[in-house]
Amino acid sequence: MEWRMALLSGCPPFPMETVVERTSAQPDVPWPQSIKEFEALIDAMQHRLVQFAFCRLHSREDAEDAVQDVLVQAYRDREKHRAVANAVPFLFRMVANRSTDVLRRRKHEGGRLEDCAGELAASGEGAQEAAAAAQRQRRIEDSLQRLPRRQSEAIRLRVYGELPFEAVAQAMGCSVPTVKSRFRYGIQKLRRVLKRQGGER
Amino acid sequence: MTCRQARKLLLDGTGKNDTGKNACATTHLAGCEDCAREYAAIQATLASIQPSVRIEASPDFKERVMSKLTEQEAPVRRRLVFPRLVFVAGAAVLLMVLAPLIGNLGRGGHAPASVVSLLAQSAQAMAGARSVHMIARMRTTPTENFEIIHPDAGWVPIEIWSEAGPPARWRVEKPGRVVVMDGTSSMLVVKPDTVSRGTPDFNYLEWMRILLDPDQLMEKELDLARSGASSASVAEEDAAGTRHLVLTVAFHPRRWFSSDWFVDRGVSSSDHTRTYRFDPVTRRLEGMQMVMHSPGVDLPVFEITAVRYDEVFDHALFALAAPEKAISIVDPTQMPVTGPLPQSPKEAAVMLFDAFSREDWQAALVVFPMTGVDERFKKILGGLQVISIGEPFRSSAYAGWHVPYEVRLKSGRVLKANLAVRNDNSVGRWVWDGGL
Repeated sequence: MEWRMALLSGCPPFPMETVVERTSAQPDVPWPQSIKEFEALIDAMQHRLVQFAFCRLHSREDAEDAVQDVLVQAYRDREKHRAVANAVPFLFRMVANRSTDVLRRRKHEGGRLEDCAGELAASGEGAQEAAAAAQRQRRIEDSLQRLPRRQSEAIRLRVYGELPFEAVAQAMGCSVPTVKSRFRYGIQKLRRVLKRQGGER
Repeated sequence: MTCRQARKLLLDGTGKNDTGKNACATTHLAGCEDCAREYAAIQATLASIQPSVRIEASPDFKERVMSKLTEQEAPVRRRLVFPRLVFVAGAAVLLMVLAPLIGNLGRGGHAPASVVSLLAQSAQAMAGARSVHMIARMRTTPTENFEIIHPDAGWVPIEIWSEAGPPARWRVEKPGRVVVMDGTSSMLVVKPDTVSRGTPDFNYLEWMRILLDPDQLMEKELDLARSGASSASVAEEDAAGTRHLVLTVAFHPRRWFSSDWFVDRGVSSSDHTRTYRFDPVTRRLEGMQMVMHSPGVDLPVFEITAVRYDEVFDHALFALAAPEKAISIVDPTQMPVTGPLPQSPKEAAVMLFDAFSREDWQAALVVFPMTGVDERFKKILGGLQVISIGEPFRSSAYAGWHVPYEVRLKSGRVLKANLAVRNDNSVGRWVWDGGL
């Protein structure tokens, strides 16, 4: 697909096509009912879930802890969710909730995000890149936090979770048209927020 | 295909598996400059929030998850229901006891449909404004920050100019204080000569910052109403033959401490009613009034008397020059260390007043985060005598501490107030933050 204006304006040729490619044709993953299925779920989902949590928490360690807690909880509650056809949206929702808890605890304890980046930078090869990513993600997260909560949640699930709208709707417990409007209005507002922060990026 | 249909389709990304619609959208984009520009802007926004690197789980991640599962699985299965019931019952009792103390926190969150509809329409109507110009007034003092109300003071005029980007720029001004964000940085000038410079999103405006984005303000009200943190209602009113839609929002903030100094002083910490007036056709905001409720008194403390949209502002409005011989606010990491530093809010107050009493202005800079002490401060506070310094206390969501003090000035006047000091900076240093 060729987007003439995008090329003319010098924008990187990422956005919608890539999101659509990543988010389409994702197979359903049933809720694991055995250790074997659980291990297969970890293999299939660990990187996506950690990436998703990292975008919010800006710390690999915290992101891995959050995802670890969620996966263990998911297996412990397997009876309750036996009928769930696709566990993926629910796992992302659980990680989002867990990340919120971590952020709340950090706020309560007075932890600073810069410290997380600092820890990363000090911890070895490749860590500086992660630290820079954490800093950048923190700025993005500041912008997302200025959006209404449901809109920012839709954007995070769609962009960072790389979920199709159907799965985002399942994760947020609402209809697909509702989630699309939240995403659409969220992006429009994000544009304004980014502009306010000193220019279109 | 209309522009609306094409934009919706392109943003949703739903056209991927629908070649007919997809082709239509592409054709539309090729022939419609507005949509192409809009689409490019959306792409830029999405690109700007993409993670720059992909973080992957550590190689031993799976192993750790499986270990944790092994550790936890058995005990969890045996966990008793009884303690959980006790916990839930205890929490319910606690909530009932605490409910009166935590304001609206316990209320249900079902805003009337008329409120939701008006706020959503208004947010959408104002989101496209290229600029907003507000004329407002507040009961405060000219040099006070933008948060603090002085109920006994007269009205102080405030003017807000906000221009959408790129780059976004804004200016907020009252007689003793002006803040400008020129697209790359922000600058605060407290007249006549105190200056602070910050990043574009540095919060010099406190609660007033949200007025720069009226659509965000409406979104915020919508969230508050939906969550039950405020209660809102809509009515139609006729004023001088003109019809308006009026939204009334009652706000009862959370009470943070038993002695809350900020109550009836800070906008965000006081019981108040916000009344918004909208154009019934465009749904754009036309005005606002905030009435603060203290025991037995309902007092208007803030008003937006006019809102103008899409004005073209002079570039000079967003250029602010620092006054000559300006005294700048210094980051605590850059403040001098000439001796022992205060280790508590009370020590900070004692050291500051001691320096003032001895007129040792260099010593004052250990706590006073400025490049120098203003001549007016020197004249008024130099040689003061400390009568008492009380025990520090905290108030509302303010990150610092208040230290009650009573001093006798050289003029003979006795000054009794609370010194604000804080140490929530990266070096944990106690610095003065207000209250003189």
